[in-house]
Amino acid sequence: MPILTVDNLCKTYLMGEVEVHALSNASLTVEEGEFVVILGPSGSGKSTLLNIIGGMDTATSGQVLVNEKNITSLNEKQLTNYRRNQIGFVFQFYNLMANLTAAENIELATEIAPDPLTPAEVLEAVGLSDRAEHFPSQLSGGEQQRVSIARAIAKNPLLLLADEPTGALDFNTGIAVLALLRKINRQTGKTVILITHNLDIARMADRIIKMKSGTIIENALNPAPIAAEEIRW
Amino acid sequence: MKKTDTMLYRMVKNSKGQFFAVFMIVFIGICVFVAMNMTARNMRDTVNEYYRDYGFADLFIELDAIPEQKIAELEQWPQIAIAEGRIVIDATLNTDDPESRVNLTLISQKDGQKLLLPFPLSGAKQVKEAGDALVLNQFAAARAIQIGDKLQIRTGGLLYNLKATGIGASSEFIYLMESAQSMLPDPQDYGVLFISQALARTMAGADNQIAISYSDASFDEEELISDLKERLAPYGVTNIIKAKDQLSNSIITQELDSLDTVSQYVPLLFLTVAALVLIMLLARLVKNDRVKIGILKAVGYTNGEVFLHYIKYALAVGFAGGLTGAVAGTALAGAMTRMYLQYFNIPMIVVSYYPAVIGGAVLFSCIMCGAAGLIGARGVLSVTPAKAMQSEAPKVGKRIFLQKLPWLWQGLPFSGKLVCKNLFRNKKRTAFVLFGVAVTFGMMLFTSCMPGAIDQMVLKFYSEFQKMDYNISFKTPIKAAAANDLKHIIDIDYMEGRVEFPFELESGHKKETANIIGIAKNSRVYSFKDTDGKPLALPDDGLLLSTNLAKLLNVKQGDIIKVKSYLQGRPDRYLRIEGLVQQALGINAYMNIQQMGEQLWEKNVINGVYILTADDEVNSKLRPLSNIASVQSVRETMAMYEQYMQMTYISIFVMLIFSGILGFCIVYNSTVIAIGERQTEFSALRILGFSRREILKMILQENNIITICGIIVGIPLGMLMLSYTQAAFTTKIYTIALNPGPLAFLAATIFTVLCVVGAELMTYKKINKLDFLDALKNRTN
Ligand SMILES: Nc1ncnc2c1ncn2[C@@H]1O[C@H](COP(=O)(O)OP(=O)(O)O)[C@@H](O)[C@H]1O
Ligand SMILES: [Mg+2]
Repeated sequence: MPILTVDNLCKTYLMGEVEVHALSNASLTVEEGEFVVILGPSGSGKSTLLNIIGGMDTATSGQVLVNEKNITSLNEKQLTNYRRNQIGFVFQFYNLMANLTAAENIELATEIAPDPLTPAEVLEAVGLSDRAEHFPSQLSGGEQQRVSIARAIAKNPLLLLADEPTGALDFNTGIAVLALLRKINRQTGKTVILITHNLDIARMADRIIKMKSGTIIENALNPAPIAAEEIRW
Repeated sequence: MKKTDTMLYRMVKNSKGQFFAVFMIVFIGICVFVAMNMTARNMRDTVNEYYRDYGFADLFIELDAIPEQKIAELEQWPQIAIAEGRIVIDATLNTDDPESRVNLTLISQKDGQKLLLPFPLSGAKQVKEAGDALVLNQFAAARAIQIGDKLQIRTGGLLYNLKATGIGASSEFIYLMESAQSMLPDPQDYGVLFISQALARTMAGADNQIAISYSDASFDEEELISDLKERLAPYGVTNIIKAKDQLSNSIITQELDSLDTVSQYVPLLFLTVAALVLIMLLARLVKNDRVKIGILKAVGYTNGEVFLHYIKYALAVGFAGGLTGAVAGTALAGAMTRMYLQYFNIPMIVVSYYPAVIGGAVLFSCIMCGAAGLIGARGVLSVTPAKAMQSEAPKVGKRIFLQKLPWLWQGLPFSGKLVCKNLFRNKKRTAFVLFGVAVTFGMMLFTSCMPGAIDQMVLKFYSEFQKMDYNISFKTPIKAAAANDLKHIIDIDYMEGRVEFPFELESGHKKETANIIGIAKNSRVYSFKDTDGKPLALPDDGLLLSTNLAKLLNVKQGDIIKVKSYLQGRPDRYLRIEGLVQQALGINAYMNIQQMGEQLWEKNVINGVYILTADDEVNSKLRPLSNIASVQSVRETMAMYEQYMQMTYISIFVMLIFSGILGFCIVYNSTVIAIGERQTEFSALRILGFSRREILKMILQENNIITICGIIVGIPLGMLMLSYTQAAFTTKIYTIALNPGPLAFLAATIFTVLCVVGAELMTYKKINKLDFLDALKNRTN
């Protein structure tokens, strides 16, 4: 039984007179515990897909089943609850609260989650225990992204979604972040869905989903995933 | 503490200046509200307690003479608790200065007196010996009369030597005025002495006034008065005055009422401004915090939780400003009450702290700010997390309005075009700053034209409306021709007879007592102007009413009003209002002297004259004449007004300071917000190679244009405030015509520019500290 099933998902934006089909009939499945990479060129609809999966945006038509529950039929309040309880999101630009410390940024999420991990635990997991009391401005980009990951996993979510988490980072830091996501996936068995337009990163995935112009052109298991540290680009 | 609250707390801490600026506006609004409201309450309490403790009467009956036991009989009436007789005598004081004429009212005191007791301030508490006198404190102060001083008085053609044994105040003379015509207290030339009953009897015989205090029974006052009139008719009732019409009390009631009005209206202005600023502040904040709101929602915070987060900011301002403002206002109320009381001549003070007012003010402030929060932060609801995370799509480049005017657009230098585009691109932001400047200018215009208005008012009244040097009143009316005798006594350049009498004017349910002045058809003393400022001739028939009086009676040109005489046996007349005249000081009606003689009075008889003269010994020359009741010098009257207006000046000064702070806060706020939300834009310009100086110059240019536009918008705004104030400050004593002159405009402009520059200097620091590159790196800042 797949943890995630996307079925004929469409998303159309209306830009004045013009209809932009960000997603047209996208379908895919993901099994529990997989490390999934969605690959595609810029503008192919990756973020749109991930946002709908994460309950941050609504679809025009089609279905998204998470643990067999259709989230496209949820109302505003139920969607909020879904985000609160099931989803951990990592953004490209870290998006930490500037006036909260690393630990407090994590608490921001754990306070409202039903079954959270402790901030200390997750900071330990991302290797930033000694930075708990630092504000984002006192952290490097990579460290900020690691706090952001810690914030996402602290809720103990069903799905960990990451939209180009390395997009704003340099190569080495990017690798470290990817390695961290992989480690979490291995140790906790959490399903991770990661977006990238970088083909090399896709090589570390269990499953590679390729997108183009709003459709899924390929959804295949990677027979030999490599370790994050082996990635070169 | 919840993490969202931690964020809020740190946000306030990091933008202290801005929080403080809004806080100040709320603080001032609530402080003014509480201070004025409590002062008004304290004043009423004080007056009421004074009246109660010192037996202020409910009814004053003036009659020719009445035996004591007839007065005692009145106490049998169920409506009447106390009825006390007394003797009131007109007299004059002999002084060393032949130029001054000092009128006195002597009031008898008796043992066991319960009503209208003097409040002893120093020396004897009561009149003991026949030759003793208690001197009313205002009079004693104005004439430097001390205990032990000899006072030589003249009444009924006889001289009496009295000794001042004590000084006291009286609830009957909180405002010391000789008559309703005097309009202003003049304690130099009019005073009150409390003398023994024995002495009063030798001067005037029997009691000629009855003071009555009502019982608790409920009854119809008018009915009682007509019953009393009937019962006391044999004793020659001349006047029955209700407490509310008693001269001093009626003025105080008016003052308290106008204090009430001002205490509601001024704070409301401040709070409205505070609410508007808050709305805009929050709207900007929410707009800039899009990403932050997006994250909160992405993490799983509900719409309500995020909304509440921003409303809490407003509530924090409301609560902090409300509470501190209420506390400060309470403290201020004590001081203000003391200040007012000094001016009111009440020798006691009741200052209470009204927890309900404090609580109410805090609640009101929270509700107002909360409501402002709801409106200002409603943008939170429309932010969806997915959209918030996207970098905002660049706004579609649109031709701005100015580009449709090629002749203007072509003439602008490139930087000018950039500035204009910036101004038009973000209309809301521009509107916010513009609003701030406009409100500041409006307040300044309003404040800076007040002092000039008061000077102008007095000056205009006596140089344009009424041109004369002296207004002489006779004790008993004389034939018009007989007034010419005055020409033998003083050097008169011009003289004009007049009749001036109080009448009760009635229209519908409205009643007002006002003097009708009868003047010559082609009077050289008065120049009437109608409400449009056009000259108005005195009609042959009917009345001219001052606009103020017309408003009190709720009548207009063409209406017919009932004119009731206070003189015995005169029939009521119905007269047509032929026109309304602008009159800054006092309320009056005017009539052709001939007509007035025929319809309301006696033909060819006058009771006073207006004179123009260069003679400066008018007073001493008129002294020996027995028929002179008063000699009013215009020069002295103007000086008296100046003094009377001092209180108003203090209020204006306070307003000026408050509006200065307010203006500064608004401009500071709006500039800080404008700069804060443009960090990214500035960073981009920096990266393009603009220097800090150039960016700063651009901001300043933008601000300058907004300031100029703000001032232009501020003009009608200020005028609107002026017209409201005009209504609020208009009393029976004066009508302020608030027409700002060029000087007021200049002052308001300078003050506004100073505010803007001050706020710019404060924000300059902020701009300099801005890490332009950082702003690009971290989008949640
Ligand atoms: N809010 C929006 N309004 C209009 N068009 C949008 C919006 N969001 C995304 N799009 C369009 O949808 C398409 C897919 O966008 P996106 O999912 O962000 O692609 P990717 O993440 O793969 O770069 C793009 O053509 C983009 O321009
Ligand atoms: Mg994307």
